[in-house]
Order: sequence, then structure tokens, then C-alpha cells
Amino acid sequence: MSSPGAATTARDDRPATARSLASRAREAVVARVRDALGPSPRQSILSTLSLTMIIATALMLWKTLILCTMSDSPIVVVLSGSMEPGLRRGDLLVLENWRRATEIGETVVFNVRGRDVPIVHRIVRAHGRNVRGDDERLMLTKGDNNFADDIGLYAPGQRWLTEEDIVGRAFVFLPHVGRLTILMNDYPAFKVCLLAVLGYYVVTGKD
Amino acid sequence: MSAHNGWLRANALFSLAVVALSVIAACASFTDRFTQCQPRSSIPTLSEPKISIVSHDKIVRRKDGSDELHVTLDIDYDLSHCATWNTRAVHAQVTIGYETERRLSNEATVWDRTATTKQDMRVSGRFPGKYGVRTVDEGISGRAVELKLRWAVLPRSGKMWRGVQSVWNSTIPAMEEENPDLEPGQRRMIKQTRTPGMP
Repeated sequence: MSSPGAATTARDDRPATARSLASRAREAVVARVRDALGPSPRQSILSTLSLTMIIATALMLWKTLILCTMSDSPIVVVLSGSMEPGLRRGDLLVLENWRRATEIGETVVFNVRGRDVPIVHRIVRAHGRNVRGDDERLMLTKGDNNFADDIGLYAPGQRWLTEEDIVGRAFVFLPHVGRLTILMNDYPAFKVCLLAVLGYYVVTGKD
Repeated sequence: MSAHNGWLRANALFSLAVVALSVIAACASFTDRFTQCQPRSSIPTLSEPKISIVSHDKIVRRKDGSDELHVTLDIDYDLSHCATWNTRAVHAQVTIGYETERRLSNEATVWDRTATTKQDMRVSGRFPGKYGVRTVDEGISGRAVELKLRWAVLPRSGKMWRGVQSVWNSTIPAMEEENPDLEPGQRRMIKQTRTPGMP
């Protein structure tokens, strides 16, 4: 024999369960319909705005760094072993270009005319500007781990670097931070997967 | 919903890790400031590093008026005091600097070494120059030259820094002109070039 109180609880439970089942079914149908119709305009505006904000913030940070360091490309990742045992693959360098004159012994990042990838090497020869002012400062670079200097790497006919070839001088060093870039460079499929996951996260994120 | 929470947590953890690692790297770099980097001699009783040219192995004037110079160096330095617990490598460079009428500053590396251990940062002995000096548009013969020891310290993380010390002054002797019309044994001595500011 159950007590009257227990019987009452059992009677109250039954309609509650029925209600929650019905509301769950309704919610499921509404969700299906909403999915079929696509996101509400309000929601799509919100996700577009949040995506724009993320891109704008990244761009702002990058531009601020360019302004502070006066270098067009203030962060580079070491991609080769030509500066070992100092700089290894995957190390990250922050560059500055505050003063125009680059000294011998400085680790610089320079662009070779007609090549996309900038190179990180050390200046081994520097010749000051011509006193008549009709010539630039001339510089020659070399990788610490290379046998020969970089004349062979420069554009055909080019024997020296001038100030305009220099992207910046390395002044802050962070080890291993650029490993992700190395992975993305070595395995393009990894890059696509990473971008897909990040893109999905950014578009579907509700915060 | 739980996946979303997972992303949020991962994002928060990543941001925190980036901030924490940046602070640690900045602190480590800050401790380098307390280091007094003064190169010394590898001989404990001597204080100053000693680097000098012991022989001019080859001095040739080319047809375009430029010179090529190869030297042998006597090197004795100790840069181990520049290395701290936050130092990955010290790059030492011996440079030769000179003035010409056309260009007031010219500097070329004749020898260098990257050291990662304190033992390798002590160097003593006679070394052939690793790199020849090729001038741009004027000769180096008969000119006053200055040898400098330059060092660049690469930290494990943080700010990179450099230093320089003048170690030797001398004059390069006058040399022979490379003339393809003459036999190698018939090279002639050329008139010694005058160095600006020198008698």
C-alpha cells in the first residue's frame, strides 16, 4: 500500500512528462524549419559583424606594429637553416627599421629583386655612401652557416644590397613560435584544414 | 553547446598561454640588462682582447682599380662573460675598417665564429682569415686600417644585442698590380696610395 502522498506525486509526474515530450517535439520541428529557412537576418548580420570585427582587429594590430617598427613586414619566421646554430627553423623575429643606416654585424631581413620570399642573413661588409652623393650605402650579407656570401642569391647583375632592399633589422627573438608557419609551408593540406576549422568556428560562433 | 564551451575554453587557455609566455620572455630578456659584457683575453692575467694581422698573404690590385686582400690573424679573446643563462649563441666577428677618398666608411669581415658554449667563446691562436677583403672602387694598399671585434648576442628569448671594441690599428703595405700581360713573377710595385688624414 502506498501512502496518499506518494500517489499524488505519481499522478503529477505523468502530465509533466507528456508536456516536456510535446515541447521537445515542437522545438525540434521549429529548429528543422529554421534550418531549412536559413538563419534569421538578425543572426546573419551579427555573425557578419563579428567576423568583420575579428579581421579589422587583426589588421589594426598589424598596422600598429608596422607603424611602431617602421618596417613593412615586422614579424618574420626563419624558414631555413642558413643561420644555424643561432637562428633555427621555426624561430620568430620581430624587426625594426627606425634608423636608415644598417651596421655591419646586424642580422637583417632583405628582399631580393624578383623573388617573393625575404631572406634573414647577417651583414658582413658595409661601404658608406659616396662622398659625392651619387651612390648608395652598399652592403653584402651572408648566412652564418653558409660557406659563401650572398652574391649568388641576389638578382642577376646585383652585387650589393642597398637600404631600400632591407625590410628590417632583427631586434627581438622568440624561439619555436613560428613552428605553425613551418607546418603550413611544408604541408599545404594542414593549412587548408586549419583555415576550414577556424572559418567554421568564426562563422558559427555565437559569442 | 558543449563543443562551443570547449572552443571558448581552448581560446581562453591559448590567450592566457600567449600572455604568460610573453611576460616570461620579457622578464628573461630583462635579466640580460644586468650583464656587463666586457670582452677579455683568454689568458687570465691579461685583461684586453688581442687581435692583430700577422701576415698579408695576398694583396692584388685588379684592373678595375679595386684591391683584394687576404690576411692571417692572431686572435685572442674571451666573450664568455657576455653569455648569461638566457644566451643561446654569441657570434664574434673580426672586421677591418678603412677610409678612402670616395667613401668615408668601409668595413669588411675577415673572420667570424658562432659559439654556443662558454668554451667556444674563448678563442686563442693563429687563424687564416676566412674571407678576403675586396674593395669597391679604390685600393686598400698603403691605407690605415682598424681591426674591430664585434659580437652579437642571441638570447634564448627576448631582445638581441650587440657590442664592438676597437682592437688594433695598422697600415696595409703597398702591393702588386695584377696585370695579365706580365708573367706572375714580373708583377710591379705600384705607388703607395695616400690615406686621408695621414702624412
